[in-house]
Amino acid sequence: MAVVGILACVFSFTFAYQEARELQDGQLNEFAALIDSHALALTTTRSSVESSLDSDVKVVIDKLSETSRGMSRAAGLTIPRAMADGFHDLDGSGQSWRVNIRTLKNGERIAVAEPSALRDEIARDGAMRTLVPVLLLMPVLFVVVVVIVKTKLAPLSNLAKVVDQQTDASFDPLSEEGIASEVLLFVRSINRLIGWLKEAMSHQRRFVASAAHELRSPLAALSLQAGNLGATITSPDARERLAAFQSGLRRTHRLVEQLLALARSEQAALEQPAAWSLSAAVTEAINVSIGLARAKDIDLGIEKIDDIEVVVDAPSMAVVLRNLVDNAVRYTPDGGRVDVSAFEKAGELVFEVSDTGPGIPESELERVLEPFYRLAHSTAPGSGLGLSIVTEIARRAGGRLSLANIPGGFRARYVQPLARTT
Amino acid sequence: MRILLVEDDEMIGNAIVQALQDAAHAADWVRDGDAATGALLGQEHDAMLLDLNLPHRDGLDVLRSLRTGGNKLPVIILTARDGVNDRIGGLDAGADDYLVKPFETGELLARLRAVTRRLSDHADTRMASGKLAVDAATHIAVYDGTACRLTSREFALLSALLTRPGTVLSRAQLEQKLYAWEHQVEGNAVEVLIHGIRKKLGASVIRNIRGVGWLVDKDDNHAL
Repeated sequence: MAVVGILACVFSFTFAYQEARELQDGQLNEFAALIDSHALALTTTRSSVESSLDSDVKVVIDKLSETSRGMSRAAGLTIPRAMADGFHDLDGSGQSWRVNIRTLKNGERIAVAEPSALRDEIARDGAMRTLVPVLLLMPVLFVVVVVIVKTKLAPLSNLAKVVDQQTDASFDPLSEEGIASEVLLFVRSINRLIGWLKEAMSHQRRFVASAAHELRSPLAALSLQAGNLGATITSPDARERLAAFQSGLRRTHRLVEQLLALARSEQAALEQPAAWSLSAAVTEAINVSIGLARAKDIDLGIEKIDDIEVVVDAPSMAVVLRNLVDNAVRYTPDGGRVDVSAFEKAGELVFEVSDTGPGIPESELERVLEPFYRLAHSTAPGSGLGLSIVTEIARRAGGRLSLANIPGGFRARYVQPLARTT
Repeated sequence: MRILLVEDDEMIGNAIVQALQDAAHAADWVRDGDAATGALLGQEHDAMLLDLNLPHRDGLDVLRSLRTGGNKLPVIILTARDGVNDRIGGLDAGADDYLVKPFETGELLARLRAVTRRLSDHADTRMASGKLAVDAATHIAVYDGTACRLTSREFALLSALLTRPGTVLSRAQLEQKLYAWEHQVEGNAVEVLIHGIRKKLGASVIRNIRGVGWLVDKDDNHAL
């Protein structure tokens, strides 16, 4: 806008300036023509004429003879005789002149001269005046354009807000109300895109639900059949082999559950937050892992717990707790110790699970969060998905997971802002 | 016991029927909701195992109409669906318990015993897990070869733990069980009872889980 304004000013000024100069040259021509037609007479006594009504405005008319005399000399202007007809710029004493030389019909030659400074000033003044309307209108134009653009684009920035607020649970199409027709096409395209996304999401949700059902059913049948087999065999060898088979089944089951949990944490809508008792939740998480802890003679227990209810997406939080506790028990050597804490601190919900396990090399602390990543020398059977699931839930819930090697063990800490406690 | 199984999956149905028969139960197996409603008219079953995902008629619907009719038949829901809402929906509709597939034979039979014990006097009075066995009729407990008679409050506490072996019960949960038995529970009643039971049967009969509560060990601990 400023550039356009400046360009407009420059052009306007240049054209007006040129125009004024041409007009002035025309005037000099007209003087000469008037003398030629004797409408304006040069007296013989005074070979040169000076219009001196106004000291500012000065035109000098001179006859060119053997030597220049009279006013032209007085004005400090010497015009060489040999000078050709037409317009010339000459330097006199102190000022420069614009001179028009013309050969009259009677053979005499005259010069009509005007000081250049005067001409330039007049031309400049004139040209400057043409700028006034542009300069006055520019700020007004600026304000008008800004107001128009803002009003026209307000619905668009509202749309941007609506798009930003979309979660994968909502996917509402954008309102087409009050949208300028220029933008309407764009909004419709966005709405088509939202429609596709919504469909893809619900498709994936259905897929996960069906996958859960379809994967669990044969697993259920297998595990029941293994149990039935156990009821009929008596040989200790066969029992041992069956136990190995059943442990493989459990591992498959666990992997399926973890995969489903990961898929859900990536796509499912977070459930409505509900009041959730911390101690009940921790007890449940410990109950899931207590079997393995007892088998490994690990002292699994609560270190610190706030007896409060928090308002959170309970199923996701339960998954976080379960995975942290399970990981700790799984990777802690036999006879070790796992401490679970759950408390509120500075408006945030904190889960802490520390163990006496070997920890994770600092170089691998980042990588263990990747799906299916397993430590190089780890022998513990795991899916390699637990921490990925926790990270994914943290991402969606605005929480964070931090892992740290501590003296004599390892600590996983999950922190999430709390809306309120009850 | 005679068990009604409502399950549309052939493999699972066959395996459960086999498991029930192995445990000396009689099993009637129907494959959809309408057949289940028909089978329930006879009122000759001791418990029902109900799959939720059924053709024609949803399992929850079968359960609701059963409870609306005032039938108190113990029902355990078997489902492959996930989500807490499904679980709450099932329990709200009147299920006594809930098993998510896949589950193991032992788990199914233990839950079945637990839900039927509440209603029937002629049920199996013996509860056992690992090295521990308790007889509900005589209140005699046997642990690792040591036998002794429990007081009724000790029995109440130990049988509460034996209902879900391998699961930690908090002090509050145990107090609730005792409260159902007697109307006054002193502040440290749970600790006193556990101390008594351990003195009679050995310290390892009841395990303390630091900060959480107590449990009795499950048959096997290879839950990998």
